[in-house]
This record gives sequence, C-alpha cells and structure tokens, in this order.
Amino acid sequence: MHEISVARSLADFVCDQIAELDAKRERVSVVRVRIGAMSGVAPQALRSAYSAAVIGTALQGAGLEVETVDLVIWCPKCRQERLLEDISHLCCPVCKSRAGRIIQGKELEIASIEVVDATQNSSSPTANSQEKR
Amino acid sequence: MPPRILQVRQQILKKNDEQARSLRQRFADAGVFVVSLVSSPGAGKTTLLRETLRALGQTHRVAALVGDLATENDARRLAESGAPVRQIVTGTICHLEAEMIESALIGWDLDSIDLLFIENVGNLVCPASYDLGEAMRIVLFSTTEGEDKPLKYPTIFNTADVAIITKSDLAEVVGFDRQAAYESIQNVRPGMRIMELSSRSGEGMQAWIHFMQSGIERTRQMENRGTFNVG
Repeated sequence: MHEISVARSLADFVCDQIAELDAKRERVSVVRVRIGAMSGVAPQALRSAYSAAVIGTALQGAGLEVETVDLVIWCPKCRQERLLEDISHLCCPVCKSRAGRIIQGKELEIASIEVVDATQNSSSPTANSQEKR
Repeated sequence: MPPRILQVRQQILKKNDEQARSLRQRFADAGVFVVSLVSSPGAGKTTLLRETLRALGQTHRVAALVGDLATENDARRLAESGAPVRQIVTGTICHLEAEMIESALIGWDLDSIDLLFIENVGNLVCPASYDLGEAMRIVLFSTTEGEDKPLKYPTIFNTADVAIITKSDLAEVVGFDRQAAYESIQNVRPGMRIMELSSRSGEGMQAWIHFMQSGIERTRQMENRGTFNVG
C-alpha cells in the first residue's frame, strides 16, 4: 500500500500549488492525475488513499480523476508502436518478438487542477472520484 | 465564473525524484558504487549481503543500509562482518524512500566507501516507484518461490537492472524449472541480465563478487574522469 505515500505526495504538492489562492473565493474541485499501467500504482488503491490523505487539508472535498495510461512499447522489428494489454509480456502482439523499450505506461503524474468559485455552494458534478480512459 | 484549469504536468513523486537525483550526484562525486536489492520477504537478501560483505570486505570498503518495518535484527546480523551497517526502521511504510537514505547517511563519510548496498524492505510491489539514487537495482527471487514470480510482479522486475535467482542449491529438491524462470524474466524485461547463485553453498558466488568488483572499478574510473574534467 505505497499508494498512501503517493497520495500524500500528491496532496502536499497540490496544496503547495494552491497556497496563494484566496480560499474564500476559490476552491479546488478536481485533481486530475495520469497513472500508467506499468507505474506500479493501482488506481483504486490510490483513490482510497487520496480520500484519506486530503482530510483536514485545503483539498478536502475535491475529487480525484484518474486517467489510466496504457502500456505502449516500440517494436524494433515492425518499426511500430504497439499497445499491450498484458504488462507481464513485453512482446509485440503482431510479430511476437520481445521488445523492451517502453514508450508510455510508466506515468505517475499530476495533469491538472480544476479550480471553481467557492462562493457558489453547489458541489460540482465532477467532485467525486471517477476513472476515465 | 467558469472553472479554471491549472495545467500542471508534474511527477507526483517529484520530491523523491529530486532527492534521489541529488543522492546520485553525491554518490558519483564520492565514487561510491550503490546497489539496491529488492525481493519478496525471505528470498535471501540478507544472507547474500552477509556473504558479500564477508567476501568483499577483505579488499574493499563496503557498507550497507537495511530497511525493515521493525527490528534491528538484520543490521545486527550483518554487522558481524565488521562492515559499517545501519538499519532503517520504516515503521508502517512498506518501502524505502530517498529521504530515508539521506538521513541514514548522516555522519558517514562517503569518500571512504567503495560499495554501498541498500537492502529494501521485503516487498515486490511498493519499492518499484521509488528511486533511491542507486546506480543499479537488483531484484532477487529464490528457486523456492515459483518460476512465474516475475510475471506476477512485472513492474518491479521491469524497473530492475539485474535479476538474481537465489537458493540455487535447492533448485533440484523443489523441482525448479530454470527455463521457465528465465522465460518469465525475459518476458517482463527483455534483455535483462540474470545471475544464479546460492549464498549457502557458494555456487555462483564468485561470478557475483566479480560483477560487484567490476561495478566498483567502473564507478572509480568515472569518478577519476569527473575529477579530471573539473580540475
């Protein structure tokens, strides 16, 4: 459950970023992250860890949106990028040869922070944790 | 007022990455070859480390940091070799982070160390995402664990530079399928270097010790070149 440490780093970073916001006027509604299939972080575990990590911080109530990033390798034989469904077999799905160069799928990054008017009390429709691909 | 989007594009573990980068620079400046060991609990990290400290301690200055959730037992065991050893007790944290390495090194003169081992907490999941500033990450798994272990934990195997199959003396007894194990490793990390050894019988230990010696040598040459460039 290193997702707890990852969520804490995430919350710390975002809180730093929004430190200069006037909390009376603006609040964070959603934090968007990109998590690679080969990042070692499980989106579901990160979501639970995140909801615990933001308690008592300026992010409390702000949702987490996780975009999962598929694993893509470079096949030197086909000279093509290939999307892999199975991260335990780094083989080209077409020519079946092994290919170790990863183009994407190791991401563990913050993409954006959405800030809304804090004076409007209605909760944003995106305020709950959700996943999209 | 419409929502405002702050584009960030930033590593979540940026702080750890930065600390690891600065550690890597310190290690390079001091000419220390730093090797981290990861494995599941019981794969034989500590025993391999003990034998390695014993064998290399004659000719080189070797030190170790060992991470565990609790107890100082491993550090005590390893200190019997006479090498400087420090325990990092992580409490509830299931992996080591660069910051822990930084604090554990306080008071150590890196210039007087040739090879530093960092033994991570026994865990094949959590240590994967955390850069510790090491020059080489080695993943261990034992012949008693099953040949498909790499397939079950692809991320940690993929982030490692070298795989070591330990307890080779037990291979026959447990019916270890060597070819299947090699296949599994190559599937998750094509081209990965694989070594096989037994800390108990000594099988494969000589090749391993040579491998570590060449790493020390290479690091030293790089340090000299660095000094030459600056001076």
